[in-house]
Amino acid sequence: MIRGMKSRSLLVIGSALVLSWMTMNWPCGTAFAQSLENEQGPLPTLEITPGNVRAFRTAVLRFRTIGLPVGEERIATLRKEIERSLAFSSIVLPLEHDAYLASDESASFADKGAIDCDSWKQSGADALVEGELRRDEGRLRADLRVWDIARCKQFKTGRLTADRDDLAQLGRIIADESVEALTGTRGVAATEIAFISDRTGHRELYVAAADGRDQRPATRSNTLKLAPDWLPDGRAILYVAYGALQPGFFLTSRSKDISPGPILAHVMKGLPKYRGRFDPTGEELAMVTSVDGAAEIFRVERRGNGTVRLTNHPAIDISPSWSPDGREIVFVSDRSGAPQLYVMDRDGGNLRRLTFTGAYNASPAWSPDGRWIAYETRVRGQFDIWLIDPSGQINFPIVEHARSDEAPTWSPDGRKIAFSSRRRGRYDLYVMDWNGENLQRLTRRSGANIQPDWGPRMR
Amino acid sequence: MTAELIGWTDEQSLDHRRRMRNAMLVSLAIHGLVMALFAATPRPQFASFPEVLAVELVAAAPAPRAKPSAPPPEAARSAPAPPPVVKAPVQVLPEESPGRIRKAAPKPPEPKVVAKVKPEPEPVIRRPTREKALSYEDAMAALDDELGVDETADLLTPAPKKSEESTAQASRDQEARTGVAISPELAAWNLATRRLIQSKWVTPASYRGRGLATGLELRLSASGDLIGPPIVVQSSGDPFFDDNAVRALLTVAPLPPVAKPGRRLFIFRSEAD
Repeated sequence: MIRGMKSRSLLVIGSALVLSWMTMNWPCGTAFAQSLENEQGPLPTLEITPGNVRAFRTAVLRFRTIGLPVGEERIATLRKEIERSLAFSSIVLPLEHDAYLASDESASFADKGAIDCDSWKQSGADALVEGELRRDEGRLRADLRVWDIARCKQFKTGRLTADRDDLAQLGRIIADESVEALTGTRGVAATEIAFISDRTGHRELYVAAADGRDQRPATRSNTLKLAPDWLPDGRAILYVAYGALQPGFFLTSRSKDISPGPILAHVMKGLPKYRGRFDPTGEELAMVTSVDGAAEIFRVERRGNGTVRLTNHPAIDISPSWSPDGREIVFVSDRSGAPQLYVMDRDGGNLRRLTFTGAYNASPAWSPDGRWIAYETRVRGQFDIWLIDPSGQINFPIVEHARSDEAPTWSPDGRKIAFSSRRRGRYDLYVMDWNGENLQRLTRRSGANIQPDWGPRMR
Repeated sequence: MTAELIGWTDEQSLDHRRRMRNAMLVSLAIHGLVMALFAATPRPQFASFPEVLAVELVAAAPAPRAKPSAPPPEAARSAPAPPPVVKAPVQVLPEESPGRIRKAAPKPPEPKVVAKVKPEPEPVIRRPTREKALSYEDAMAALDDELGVDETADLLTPAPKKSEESTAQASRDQEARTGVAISPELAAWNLATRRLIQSKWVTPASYRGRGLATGLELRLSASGDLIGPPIVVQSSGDPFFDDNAVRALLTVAPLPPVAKPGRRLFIFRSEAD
């Protein structure tokens, strides 16, 4: 019995000695000991602040074709379109092919094995896009996989179909999906921008892809048109046309559900309508018209009912822009003697002046996240684009140039701003990141291009 | 005017095309009628040429010259369309450039509604007037296009200053921040680790100015390997900012070998203090 107790004591002591040795010498044992120490005091802390890496890198593999007679050239075109659209995002860039340390062919989706993450990590890829193309009931179908290289697992899988063999649009959508996987917010390569151009000798309404490609007219009636504004669902565009009579509102439509032609013609009949802005629901408009010789802002239902006067001042009140929640409107008024930005509630109440610097502030555009209002301000005889927060506390320039930059409009993700600029002589459209970086020119040698309005995302 | 309205239907355009077609039909009908009349009527006998009279031209006294009227507004001159269309841009101006409205005084095209007479707005699109004076710029633009000049060079974004941190400085900074003195070895490790993570951590501009901070707890072996995944112990409120920080750590792992392995707290901030 006693011998048994002794041996048990020896066993306990021996175990304790072994454990203490492990604690002192083995790495994980040391970590464990350290953790005990840490629990008695604050953890060693290291603060990390941003470096200079601004964009994710994504490897785009060649898509496999499944029973689809697609030539090598078209597969390469799709890959190029995806990479081009990623580059447009300026937040997720394509990884250079020279850096690839693994095969650039998509794996079969039937094979659920993982990719060679170590090689891709060494290549510098943060994500990887691969896919399969097939024809499904006459439509082009792309099955998509986006990989998180750091964790070596799939971010997302998806299936996209296209009505036409429009590889450019398919590439844009795939790129936007990849941007969403990495950042949580979909890209805007597949969106469009409406604008006014006089390239044919008359100011007509045009539509272009967000990166400036596929520019095409959306009206063609040889009358002056201005002030385009997308219906929030993207199915139609409102514009102001100047015929023989007063300027009035018209719609151009790409949906069978929305009739093109004049709208609100019976509302405030006989009065000129200078500009209309749909609220975020698309059911109401903020409308600028002229009453008693002064431009005033009204709110009116899209069907023409319920007109509400929002401003009532002998000064000029113009250029309304809705807050993203539809509760407030920022607009321009010269009631102080010079054009300045003002904010009011959707019923016209709670009016407050927003800008106090700059002798000429105009063209406000509220950002989709509600944090900023972009506007143009005159500096030394030309216009720069500034941002101001809705409280008026923070106000700073994002673009300064010796030539005018005007009429800012936000992309639906709030990451980019399009505007018209005379920096190359004529008015052209440009797009840049919201902080003024990554400037790109959208129009070239095609007349004056003004008043861009960035359209919504279309699913 | 050869482009098609791909996918878009615009009633104004349809009306325009309809009007054009009708005008063409009417024109054809009139021409046909005239030709028929011409064919049906007997050929006229041409009268002989009148006798030519020699006339001597005498200089007349100059008539009093009317005062030159003021030049039309720039907008009217530049407007390419017929009168009604020319008026239209004048109406646009109040919307576009309110500040100038007070300077010019053209009458509004439709006086129906106007109760008070207000100084007429100068066209908002007046800014295009500067276009005319800048024809050389058009040439510049064309030249730039041809030569492929990159206008993005106009935007010079100053590169962020790289602080010349020394290990000793880092140690002093840490001490100043936390009030806790740390060894030069730990300061060196902190510096190396921070730079390693900064070289891979993607921080898009959209994160800036939001005051985001994510706290990650991790366990390190002596060789710098992560023992288990980092755990978010303090969220920034933006799940993608949090996830991005985790991904940055996983990407750079292993970290530099560490003298004292164990738990660490890494705080990722969206901007420097």
